[in-house]
Amino acid sequence: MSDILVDTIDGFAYRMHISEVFTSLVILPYFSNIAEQVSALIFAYRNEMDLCVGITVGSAVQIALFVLPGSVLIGWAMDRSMSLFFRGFETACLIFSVVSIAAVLQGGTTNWLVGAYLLGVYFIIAAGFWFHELENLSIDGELVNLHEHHNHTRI
Amino acid sequence: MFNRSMFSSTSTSSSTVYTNQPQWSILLSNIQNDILLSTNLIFKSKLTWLLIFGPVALVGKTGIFGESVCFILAGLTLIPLAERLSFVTEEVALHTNQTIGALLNATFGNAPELLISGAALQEGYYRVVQLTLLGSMLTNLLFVFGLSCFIGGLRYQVQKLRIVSGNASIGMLMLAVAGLALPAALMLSDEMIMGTEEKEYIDKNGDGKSDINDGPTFSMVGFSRFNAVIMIMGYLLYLLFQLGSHSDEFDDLEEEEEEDETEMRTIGSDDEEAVTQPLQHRPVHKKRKKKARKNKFCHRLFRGYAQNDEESNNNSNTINERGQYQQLNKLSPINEIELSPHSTSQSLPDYIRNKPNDQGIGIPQCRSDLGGRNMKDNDNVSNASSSSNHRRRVSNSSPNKRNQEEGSSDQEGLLLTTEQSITNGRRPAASNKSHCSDGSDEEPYIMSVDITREVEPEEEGTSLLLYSLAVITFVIHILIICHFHSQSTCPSERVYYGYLSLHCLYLP
Repeated sequence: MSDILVDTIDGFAYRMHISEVFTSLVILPYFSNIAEQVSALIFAYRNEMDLCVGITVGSAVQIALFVLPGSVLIGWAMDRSMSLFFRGFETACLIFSVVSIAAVLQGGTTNWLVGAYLLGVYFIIAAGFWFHELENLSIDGELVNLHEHHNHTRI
Repeated sequence: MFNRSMFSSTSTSSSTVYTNQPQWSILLSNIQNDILLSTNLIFKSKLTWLLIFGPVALVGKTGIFGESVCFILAGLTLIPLAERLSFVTEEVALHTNQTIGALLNATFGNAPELLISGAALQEGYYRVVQLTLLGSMLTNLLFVFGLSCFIGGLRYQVQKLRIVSGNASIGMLMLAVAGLALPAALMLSDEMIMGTEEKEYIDKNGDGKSDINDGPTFSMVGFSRFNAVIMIMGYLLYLLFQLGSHSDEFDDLEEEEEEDETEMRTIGSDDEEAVTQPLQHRPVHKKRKKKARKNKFCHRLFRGYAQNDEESNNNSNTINERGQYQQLNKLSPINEIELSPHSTSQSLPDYIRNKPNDQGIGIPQCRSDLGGRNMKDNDNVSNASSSSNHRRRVSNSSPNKRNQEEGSSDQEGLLLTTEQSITNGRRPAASNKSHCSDGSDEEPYIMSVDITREVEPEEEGTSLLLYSLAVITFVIHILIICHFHSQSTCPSERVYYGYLSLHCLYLP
């Protein structure tokens, strides 16, 4: 299923006139995380914040420290040039989100205002990706000087 | 039907009841029950029927449908898979501790991510992989956690987090940021080693600077791979910290320390319960829940809304039993606030204090064994309450199993009678707080399943609130999209309807 999702993201985004960046940064994670979202909401509603933090922050830690480097290593095995190089705006978003989460976790308590400002940061970031320029995401990620024809095939 | 099979499978696996039978028959019945259990587990949820879209999407991918249709179908198919995964991992969390449960939940929740990234890497869409993973992190950190804090904060005044595990998470996130941001910093500051021909190649614009849209270079990829190895080692060390060396920090010790003072307060404040209840063996999870102060402001706000909704003349200060029960049906936050020991819990009727237990009873089909346990608790309150609290920890001991079997034998009849007594508002007063907390221990599982099925009125209130909030959030999201895309003719409406139908599936 997941490969179908990835294959069809181009056509979907094109049809819907949504940029691929926005699709893959906002819509696709929403679809794939929906179960975690629901369970985290339920746990927070019951004041079991340990489970809630474990699901949300733990999941983010796992993606950042395991899935992302793991995909780099998979790319190494497949001879794809998957790298950890994010563009400037994405890096800034990441740093902002981590800093704001760190402030919350360090404090040790949450209330609704915390949730409100975290949501605000998220919506600002999502809007930023909405205004992100169109980008050709289907770059074949081969190493540049191993494939000299790469330059000509690209738009 | 299924209730009995589930019970017998759990009881034959560990107890000594069936030891006089031949070995192979036990094995056979175990296998049979396992098959029944697993089919029950898979096809219990109505969401599972979304799996039908999977083959449709596979067929449609060959060119029958458009790509956007296939995208929606595949996305719909992923939802029940994710839901089942989270359900199973939550069940694990009950029997171990919350850390392992959350870890497993995160692991299986991220299994689709890993699959997506593997598939996309094979196609060479490495930017899609990067952006999807980044978006998943941002969604988890900001959106889901923020929404959880918001909704939890509407109900509770202050919710406590655990400092040690939080600090460990912060440190790991900082490590990840270092690994992700420093390659970008090196690249953007144009100080990375490059071969001459590579530099010419990179310099597409001819302005003497490397263009970041030109794909990765050798040194970038090398730096990334080095960072990746470091980060994975960091993750393994984090797992070691979490599960091995400092596992007690993540365990429930903190809560057990709090238990004593809570008990003292409970004894002081509520004499009836101190009498009817041996206090030493209560589950510790619910202490924190009960200790948390409710958000009085939002409480009042919700109460006002509820009264406007149901046009009731009940004053919020003088609540008679009938008014309580009506509100219990309409909107649950009001009534669950009454669960707190700070409120006047003595004057409340017992079925309200026992509400989580009622939820377990009210949905017998989805978690029949849990419902059965709760039923059994209600049945023999006085003699089994001390052992019932041990069940969470020592779930394999044989007396408990035998108790479960006894509970399951007359489960259906009891179920009918108790439901009747609930609806009549004449619940027997044999319930006490131990059962309340024991029942709400099971609540996650009940809640996560009964989303898709018909529920009792008070259950419907909770899930309706949650899901209407989710629907409202995403409708707003989509309305913004529609606003920005007024120049396009129909597509945004299609997105809107797609989202709406998606969320309607979750509503009971």
